[in-house]
Amino acid sequence: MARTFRFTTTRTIATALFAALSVMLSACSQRESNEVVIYCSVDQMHSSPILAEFERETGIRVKAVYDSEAVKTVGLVNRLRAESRNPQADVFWNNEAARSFQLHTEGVIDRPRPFAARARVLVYNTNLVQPGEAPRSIFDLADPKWRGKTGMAYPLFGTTATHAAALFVVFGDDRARAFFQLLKDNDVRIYEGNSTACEQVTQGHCAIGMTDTDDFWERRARGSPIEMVYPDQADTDRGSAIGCLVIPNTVSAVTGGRNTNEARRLVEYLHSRRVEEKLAFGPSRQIPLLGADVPVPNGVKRSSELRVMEVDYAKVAETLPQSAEFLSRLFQR
Amino acid sequence: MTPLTNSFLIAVCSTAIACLLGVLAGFALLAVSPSRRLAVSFLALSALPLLVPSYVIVSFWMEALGTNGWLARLVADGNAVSFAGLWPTILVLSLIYWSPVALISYFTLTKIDRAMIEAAELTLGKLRANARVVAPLLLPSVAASAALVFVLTFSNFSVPAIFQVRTIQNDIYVQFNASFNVGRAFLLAFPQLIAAMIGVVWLGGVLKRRSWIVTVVRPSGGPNAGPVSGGVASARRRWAVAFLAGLVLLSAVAPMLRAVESVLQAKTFWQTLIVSATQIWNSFLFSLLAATLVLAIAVGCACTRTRKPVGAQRRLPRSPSGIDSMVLIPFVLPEVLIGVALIALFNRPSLQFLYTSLTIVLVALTVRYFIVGKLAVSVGRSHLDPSLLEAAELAGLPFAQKLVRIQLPLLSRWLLAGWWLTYLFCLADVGSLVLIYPPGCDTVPIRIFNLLHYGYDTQVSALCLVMLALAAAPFMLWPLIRFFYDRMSPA
Repeated sequence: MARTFRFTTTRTIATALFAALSVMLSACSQRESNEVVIYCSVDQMHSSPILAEFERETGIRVKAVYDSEAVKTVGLVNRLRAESRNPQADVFWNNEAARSFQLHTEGVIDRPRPFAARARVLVYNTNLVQPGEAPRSIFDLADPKWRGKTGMAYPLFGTTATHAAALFVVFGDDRARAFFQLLKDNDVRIYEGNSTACEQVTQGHCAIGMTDTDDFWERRARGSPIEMVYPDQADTDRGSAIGCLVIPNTVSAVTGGRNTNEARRLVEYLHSRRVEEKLAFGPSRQIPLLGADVPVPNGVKRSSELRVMEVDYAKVAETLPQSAEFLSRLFQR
Repeated sequence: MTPLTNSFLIAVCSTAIACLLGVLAGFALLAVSPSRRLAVSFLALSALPLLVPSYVIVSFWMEALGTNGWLARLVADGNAVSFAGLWPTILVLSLIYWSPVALISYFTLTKIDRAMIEAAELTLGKLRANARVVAPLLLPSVAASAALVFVLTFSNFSVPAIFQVRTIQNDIYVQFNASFNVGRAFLLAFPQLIAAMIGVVWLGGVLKRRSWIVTVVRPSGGPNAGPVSGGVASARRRWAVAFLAGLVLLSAVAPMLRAVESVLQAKTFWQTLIVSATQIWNSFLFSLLAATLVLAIAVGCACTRTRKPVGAQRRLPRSPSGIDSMVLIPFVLPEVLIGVALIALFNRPSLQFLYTSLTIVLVALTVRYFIVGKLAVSVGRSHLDPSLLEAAELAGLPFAQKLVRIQLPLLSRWLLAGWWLTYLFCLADVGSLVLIYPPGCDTVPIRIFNLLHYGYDTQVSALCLVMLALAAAPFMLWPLIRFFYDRMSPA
């Protein structure tokens, strides 16, 4: 009798486990009609509150996939390419512009719409560099006085790749190659990402670094001993004032996405002054681009207050493969 | 040096140092084993380096050697110490990967029949008995763990990248991430595939030379656990404790204490738990299911492959079988290529229900880490006495009963170790899932990498502690499993 009871218990547990497993396996497979899938390379901590608010306001459920530092924040770009025959995403919110224009050229996404931006800046450790001697131009990184004391991210990924390609567009091939060769000759340290470069400056392993404004603001909020310089705002003896590069976020609908109406509403929502204001007052302190009347917190400069490098991001996207090819050979580690 | 040379140099040196440290730690664990409390504590601590994410360990050392870091203050008056290049990479990787070698060595040492060692010591002396009897018995386990460490150090991307060493992984990442050149990335991964194949051939040979160690678990085994004088044992134990304490302190405890300190200062632990509840549950569930699936398939494959009639000649293949090679490839290939392959296979309208569900996650983890479970089963089976199975067969036991009553109980220790190792790999996985996880199916490591963009902060520290708790979770559930098992098993 006891044996029969045990057998029944076993069978019941096995059936329950099988049922639970079936439910779990299909848990993510249900796609609702009133939903939108977004691939978002903006950091989750900054973007998820904005997406949650969109959900609350519209009743449209947002399913988000975020990018990861593990794949140098180009994982979603490559995922979109790999999935292009059967797109899973409806909207792509990218934290930079060049890769979006590349995807647009490849027919993967609609034309990207730029909004809130980050600037490429120089940061320095205030324990190691006095404000008066801090570099004012990216050309100063080639100054022998800073030999071995400067750092930047590997210029094949993220905004550093975009910055490098933009310099190729602005300077032309020869001058851009010569500039990066000078950096190499001056023993610039190459780190795996902008955040690492900024962290190395914070820890004093490196005196000066080239990074994005959001990396600076995040560390500044933690009380790290770093300061920031918007580079190339005025002519110096090393070069003319080309201005600092301002890299906007971009948002676009994915070509062939399933939920076109919901995607359109989300794109409109994100590409708005309201979202720009949230991003400006968020931890990343992004620079509004959609209007001079969008408020900004203290310390954040508007794009109108900066000398901004003038670049066509479609051209930057075209130049990206050639610049990456050259830089991968130059900065072999 | 070329990236390939760097990769080989890093993998060979790290494996050699990790094996040396690991085997010494295995003996040290054995020396402290008479004290059960000490042994359990050090066993748990020895597993720590596997559980602490490598970026936590690297960040700890970078911080220690940064301006005003505690180590920089000791060695360079608080100035930042340059810490880059091949040797820091090798040292950090060795500090991470001695752990599996130590655990596997220890479990093997406890299985060696002490009577055999005592008999050898009587005729050969202690040193020669260790060299001629213990070393060959230990070799299959060390070889298996060395193969695992070699593959892991060869394919490690983040540690060499942080220390500015260009490796083949770096080139593969560049080809994939910067140019989306999947073909070129695959070609670059070819040498590591070949190296791994050679490793499997060598490992197969080692495993087959030594077919079994012991068939019956003795109350207290191990070559060094025999009767020795109280003074010698006490001195040996002190050395062992000092060695183990130093090793776990440098490789895991100190970095984790830094994480704990950071969490305590910020008091954000509970908030992080609440915000990351979905990811924590996902990590646990995916790892649990995938590890169970891996072990079930590995046992199934191993048992069906040995269903031969009694008296049939046991021919041992000289090269790895097709299955061995097939299951090795996903483990050795860069993770992103697995992602691309799975997208190509599963992302089609007819398979939409699989691609957008948890199934794709389980497929990715099972395919990638099947070799770990298979290796555990193979090493376990190499320690089984084949005559036991033959006796069972002669007694006319059906296949299912042989499996349940003889093979599984004898293999249980290896299966549990293999299951937990697979669980750990699945828990820590980022690369295989990052290209394919459906919305809402992200895991703790993926969230950590999201947060890492802004450096090593309190939330990352809190999630690292969560990872530790998740790694230990099966042990907490074990009493529950035993309770049900005892209730269901026949009297």
